[in-house]
Amino acid sequence: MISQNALHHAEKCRFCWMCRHLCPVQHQTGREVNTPRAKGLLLSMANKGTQPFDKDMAQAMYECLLCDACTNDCATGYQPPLFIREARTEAVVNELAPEAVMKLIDNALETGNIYGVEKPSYGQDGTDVLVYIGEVAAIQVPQMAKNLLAVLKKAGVSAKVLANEPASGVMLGDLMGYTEEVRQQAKACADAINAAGLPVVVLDSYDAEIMKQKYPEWGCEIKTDVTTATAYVAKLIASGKLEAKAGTGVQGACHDDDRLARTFHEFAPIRAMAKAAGYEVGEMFSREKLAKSCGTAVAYGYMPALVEKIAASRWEDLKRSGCAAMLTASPQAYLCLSLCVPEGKALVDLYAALV
Amino acid sequence: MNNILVCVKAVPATTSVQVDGQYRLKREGASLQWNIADESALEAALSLKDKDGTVTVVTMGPPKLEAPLQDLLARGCDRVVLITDRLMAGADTRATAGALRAAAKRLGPADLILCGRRAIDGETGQVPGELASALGIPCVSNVEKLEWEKDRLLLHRRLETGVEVLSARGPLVVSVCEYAYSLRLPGILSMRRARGKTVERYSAADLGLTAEQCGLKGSLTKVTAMESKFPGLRNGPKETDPAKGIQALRAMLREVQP
Amino acid sequence: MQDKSLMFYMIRSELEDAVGAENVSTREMERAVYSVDYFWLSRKWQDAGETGPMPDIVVRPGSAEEVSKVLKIANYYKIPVTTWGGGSGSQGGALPVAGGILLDIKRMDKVIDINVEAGYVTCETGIIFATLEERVNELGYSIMHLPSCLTCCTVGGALAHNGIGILSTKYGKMDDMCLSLEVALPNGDIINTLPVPKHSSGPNLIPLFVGSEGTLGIMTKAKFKIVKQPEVRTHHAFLFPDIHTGYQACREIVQAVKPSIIRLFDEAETVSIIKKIIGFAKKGSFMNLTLEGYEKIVEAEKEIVLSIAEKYHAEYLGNEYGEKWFENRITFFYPDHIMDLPQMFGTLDTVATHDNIEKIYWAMKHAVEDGFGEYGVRFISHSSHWYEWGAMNYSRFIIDNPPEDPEEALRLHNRIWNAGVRAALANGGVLNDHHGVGLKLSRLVKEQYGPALQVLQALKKELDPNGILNPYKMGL
Repeated sequence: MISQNALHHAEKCRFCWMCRHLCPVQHQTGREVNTPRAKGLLLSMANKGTQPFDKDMAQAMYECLLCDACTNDCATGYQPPLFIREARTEAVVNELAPEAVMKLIDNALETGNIYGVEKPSYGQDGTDVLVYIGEVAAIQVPQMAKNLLAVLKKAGVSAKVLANEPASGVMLGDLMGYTEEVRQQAKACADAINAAGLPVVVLDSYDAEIMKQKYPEWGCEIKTDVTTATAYVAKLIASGKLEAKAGTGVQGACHDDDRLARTFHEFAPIRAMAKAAGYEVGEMFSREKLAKSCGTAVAYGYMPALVEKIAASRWEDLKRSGCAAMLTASPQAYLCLSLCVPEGKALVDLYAALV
Repeated sequence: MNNILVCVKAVPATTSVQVDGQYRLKREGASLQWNIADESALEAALSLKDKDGTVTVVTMGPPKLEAPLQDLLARGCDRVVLITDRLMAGADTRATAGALRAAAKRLGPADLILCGRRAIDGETGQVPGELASALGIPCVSNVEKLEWEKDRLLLHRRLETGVEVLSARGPLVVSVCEYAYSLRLPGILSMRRARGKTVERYSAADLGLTAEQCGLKGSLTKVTAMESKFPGLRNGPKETDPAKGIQALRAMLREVQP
Repeated sequence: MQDKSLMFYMIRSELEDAVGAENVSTREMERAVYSVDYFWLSRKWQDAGETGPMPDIVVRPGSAEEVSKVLKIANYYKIPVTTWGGGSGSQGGALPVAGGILLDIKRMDKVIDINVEAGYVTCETGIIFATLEERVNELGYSIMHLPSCLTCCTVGGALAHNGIGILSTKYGKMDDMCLSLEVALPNGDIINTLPVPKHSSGPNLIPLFVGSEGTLGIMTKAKFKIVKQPEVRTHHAFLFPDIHTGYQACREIVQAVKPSIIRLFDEAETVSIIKKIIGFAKKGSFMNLTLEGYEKIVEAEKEIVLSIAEKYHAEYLGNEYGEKWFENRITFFYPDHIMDLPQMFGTLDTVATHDNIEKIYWAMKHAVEDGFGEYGVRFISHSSHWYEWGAMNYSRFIIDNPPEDPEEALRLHNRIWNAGVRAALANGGVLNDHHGVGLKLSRLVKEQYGPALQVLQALKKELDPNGILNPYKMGL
């Protein structure tokens, strides 16, 4: 069963509803079981033996985006994703995880990405920075990867991309918790990055999170600077290496993706990018640390219908803000938001806007 | 076949260390973690096992170590043994080595015994040597890398002046440096293999030890007094000019280290 | 309802037809999460490894029409229906103690209409209250219902228990804020209360349902008034010589001006607060007060408040405490801040006219402290909702080491509640101020109403002849 530490978090959450209003899955499903407290309660019951940890319970543990809205809200510091992730490990060990999830895990273990396809190569040999593209951009949102490289080129940055970019481990970690298999992926990735010996610019903030937070803990620290692509590009703008564009006259609101919002607390860079791309920067009411998740690539992989609803709800936020465009620099957000762009609204890849 | 025995110690988590009025460590209620050098020894053993062999873990401590020991099964250890007995309370390094020796004997011949080179609570570093001596086998200390070379072990030993590489054949005790190896996480397959496995418990009697050989009674040393030499914090002069700051720092260092 | 019988599956398929198969569940883990709400006993039950009350089937309607269909089915088969909003009620009101259907209303979460000119918002009742408040906040308005459970409860739950928020002294409680309701009756009919809450067009229907805890009908839509966010909100703190002068001063203040918040603490609760503010222990009765609205009016109100406080020998402690408290007001409700198991605790909140409220404070304090001293009980109290005519006491008991055995704990828990509540009833108080009756106080309802209970019983009998709605709750 789950670790003592995770159980402690679960037992503290089992009678607490304070963060339930922030759960995007709860909002879209309305199911009581999709609250952090219910998931904590179920694990506590399983531990006490009053409920079996069965396929149904395992399924409930996968109905979560791991977006950290609950963790961010907790005044005490409890972390529902901690026990939810461990419950996923438990589900996989005992072969209780949903089939759609197992398919993604098998893909990730066999091919290094959840899509089970060969990752296209963006390989190029630069000398200033190493750009880590990540599997979501590489396979699902290739234009964003190309746009980032074009932006760097425009700013005179010589970028290297690994020819066979290894997986960071973030997808597998979300699918089955932080197990040795994930750490092995992380180690291989860190080794490849360290061999390049260049500062790393990470396109996907989810990859950046695992690299910056988990790699050091797992004994595979990246020895050079790791920067989110958004922070890096904002610096290029601030230093004048990347010129601002003329105003578009369009008002856009930036979507703070889960990791920028709640891991890195990085809000200014994408807004600086939006401004440099010529947008009038407006805001959605739910923003920055409190920004509602619009879904993740991994969740889209096994529960596409629910993720589409969650993305649609984010578009509702935009509509109420009065802005015409949703601005993002996150491949995962772009992937989810592109599922349901409402009429009259635009989804903007900020890298494309800066080229 | 290489049977590796790893001796580990649970120490108070570094985030929750508390001492009493006499500066003695408060162990009651403190949350525990594996000693950092012992984690390194564990990973060294598991890495050797990746090629061939078995890993058995032995520790001495309270019954609440069952859960963390179970976790070691999930990380790929084959057997885990908990020596737990009220008689063992207050053991010094010698009594500890005695208990570990008895456990090693009972568990059957090991080709290699790994220990962390020292524990972060006691900081004596004596147990590996005492255990080797009690078993009548050699001990190689402060090792930061172990690898097979055919049927011999190459041991990279960290010295103040450099690294010494020794070639050795078991059985022997090796003490491993902290941070030399980073302990793996539980893996899905190893967790599946660990299902149904349980922690084996030994009491003093199981190990054929009398009350006189255990705990405080079996110890050669005891702590008679503790005192704090902590100099306290003080506010010195503030310098913003780096050159002057270096001079001031030099003067302060000369003051404390003539 | 009998599990695994042919009839069970027949009824399940009928319910699936009504709300969609994906919104009906008989899965064990899905039902299990409804066995615990905020009620201490349900938590104790779970913690002790006991199985709490579980429904047979979970049904999640998406509209009033679907609620109506479900009720028609339930009424025909005489199946109990317990409505569940947020599940954050402290009285066990949402626990499905009779089994049957658990009606989770959270899919009904739409904001239907916000009219800032007319000053109202209409919504479905399954929306989380904080979500509704945010939607109004986006436009610079507020409902001004800010309870500690704002983020936990649904609009339906707040209405069903006639909840109250911290700003109530100025803006009122649920029954003051609600303009009209749409209700599904037990027979499945969907009715509307009259379009406005104040009229002389026959008895008002709203009070029949607000506070009825899901026993008379299921509220499906609600209209609330909204107001502009205040120009200023200023906080003040005082220390009175004792609780008696505190009660007197607060009475005079609410009879003169309209603060949004008044929180008067008894001497036991003052000890811990006052040390934090002034850095040392000092005896007395602490009070913090908030004024808000247009700056000019607030300034005038402040002068009046200060002069009344002075008259009662209060020490003025400035703005800082109130500001910090307001900012961090919900922190207390997170784990490790609030009371938790193994502690036993309860909030014996009650309300009375100004001439009775202090009497009740002392009577309840004696009943709890004298009656249960052997268990090491602590009693603390504050008064946080005030009217021109009276005030409430938010009195709490805490036992750090209650019996471990759940049955023994239940017995002690209920004895304390009986004693505390009877002390209130004997001195002009009522069962509860704003948490509701639920399962916790159901047995005491007849003591409170006396023969007046027949009015409610008649309503219940007529509206819900088969007794399907929330059985064993509210004494009905």
